[in-house]
Amino acid sequence: MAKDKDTVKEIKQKETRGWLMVVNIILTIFMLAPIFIIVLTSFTPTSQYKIPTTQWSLQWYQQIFTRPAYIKGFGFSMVLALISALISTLVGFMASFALCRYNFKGKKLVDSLFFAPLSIPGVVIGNALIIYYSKVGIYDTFFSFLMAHVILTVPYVIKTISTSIAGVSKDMELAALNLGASYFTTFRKITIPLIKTGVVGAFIYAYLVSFGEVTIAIFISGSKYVSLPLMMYNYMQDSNTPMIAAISTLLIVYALLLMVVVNKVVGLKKLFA
Amino acid sequence: MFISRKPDAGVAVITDRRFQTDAEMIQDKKTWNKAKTNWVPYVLVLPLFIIIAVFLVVPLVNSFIVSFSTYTAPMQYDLSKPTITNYIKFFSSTTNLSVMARTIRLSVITTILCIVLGYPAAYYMTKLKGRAQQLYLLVYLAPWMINVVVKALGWQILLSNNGIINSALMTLGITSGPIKMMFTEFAVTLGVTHGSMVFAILPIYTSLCAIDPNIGYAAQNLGATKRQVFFKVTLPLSRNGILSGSLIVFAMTMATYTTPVLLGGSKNHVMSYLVQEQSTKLMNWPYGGAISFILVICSLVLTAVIQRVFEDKRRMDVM
Repeated sequence: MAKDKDTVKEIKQKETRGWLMVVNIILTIFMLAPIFIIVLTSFTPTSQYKIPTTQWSLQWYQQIFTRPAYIKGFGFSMVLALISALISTLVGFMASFALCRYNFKGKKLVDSLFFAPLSIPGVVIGNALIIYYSKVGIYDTFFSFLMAHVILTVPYVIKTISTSIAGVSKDMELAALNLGASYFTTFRKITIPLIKTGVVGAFIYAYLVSFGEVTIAIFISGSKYVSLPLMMYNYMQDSNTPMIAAISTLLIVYALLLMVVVNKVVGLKKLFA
Repeated sequence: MFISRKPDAGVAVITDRRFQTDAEMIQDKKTWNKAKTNWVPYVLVLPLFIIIAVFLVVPLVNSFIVSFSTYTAPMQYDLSKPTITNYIKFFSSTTNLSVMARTIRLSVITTILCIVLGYPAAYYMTKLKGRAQQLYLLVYLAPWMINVVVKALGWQILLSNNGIINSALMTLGITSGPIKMMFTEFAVTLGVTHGSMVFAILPIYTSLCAIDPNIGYAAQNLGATKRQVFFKVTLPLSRNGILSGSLIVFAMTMATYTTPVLLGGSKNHVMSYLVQEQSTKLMNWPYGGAISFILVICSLVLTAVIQRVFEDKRRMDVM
């Protein structure tokens, strides 16, 4: 009898496992289908979105290079993302160091202020910035883009760096101080090496967020500076040829490469923990 | 002002010990220490504080004030007589109210879908180890890393009338004509759920990992079946993960802009679109500002309601 019960239990366990597997396979397909479909259709020889079966063609990739606007847009997005990620990593690092290692008046307020950009809808920030930029007279300048992107990326930077600072025991720094090191030496020889990966991770994270930003760009972009995602957004709304799939494929490859780097440097799970 | 603040105790004690033989130096070091520990955090925080104040707080306050002004011409507004007409104007239009209802409906459905579908994924992820787990995490993170516009394009290719799904259905002879999926609320829901799934999965995953497996073994030992263990032990203990996942997904969907515009077309607008239409197309900044703050208040109130309803005060001490 007892043995029978056990086998029943085992079968039931296997059933739930199987059910779980089925759900997860469907979910995986759901998550990856739109991405794979873009990559496949970008090789179509026709001007429609069809999965190529007999003929493969690179014509849509060649098309990209006949339109220098997209190359320029990519360059602008990349430069903007690099500089804004650099600035937000720098100021974000200083802020997270203060928030993690010191107690000071107004700490709570400052902390919630730095995370505010995450919880305010993009359109609200965009609307506020377009009014403000026009008033101050910096509308459609590189600087205006830069500041918007720094604000947007800073919460991610602080989150990532804070996690890595919290992981370093304060005792190590105290031990160095106790052995006669100055504050600066301790910081340089102990603190920096221990949180280096966190800082690099924060930079890549900020870069990715900045590179993919569209909503605020729709508001603050004039005619002079147009980022690549915004160009694609505009293009998709008027005309639509598989060229956009070709550009998207290149961006997917780009994102995947960055993701592999992030995983090597910090580990993907840490980004969200 | 700075002297009265409490210095960093740990550092002060250790440095004191170093200079115990020289009383004068202790005194010097102490005063220097006090000054340092009080100054340093403010100096460190200052650059970012200035950036956030000048480029976020001031613009937001400014646009809040502008939302009470009167619209005179594109990009022009008159602030001499503050009114609330812009807010009244929003609520007096039934179109606007239906857009608001759609936004809330979309957010609720997306949140439910993300939790219901994300839970098995997170649960499955806890059973995996090492490389398999990393790969599985990558599956859910990939859509997040990829641009929203690109994702929308993928759904467009799949769902449009001459798209992949419809042509597959027609070649197989299941339907004679294309089923309209693109530019419907269904397409928007699908796109938004796809985009925010990972934000539901990760908090649930974290809360599932925090559960001590011994509790489950204990329950099984006392005669509970696997199913009972899941519903009576695992699910209640992961409640906080579900709650924080729902809050993130809900707030994100309320604020979403790009996906509804690209997948919903002209008939399925959300509140974010109304803000964009007013402020960059029609250049009616006072009205655009008013709608944007209605959106913020709406989102804040509803997330507070969700938190109130689902927060379990009895179990707070367990987690």
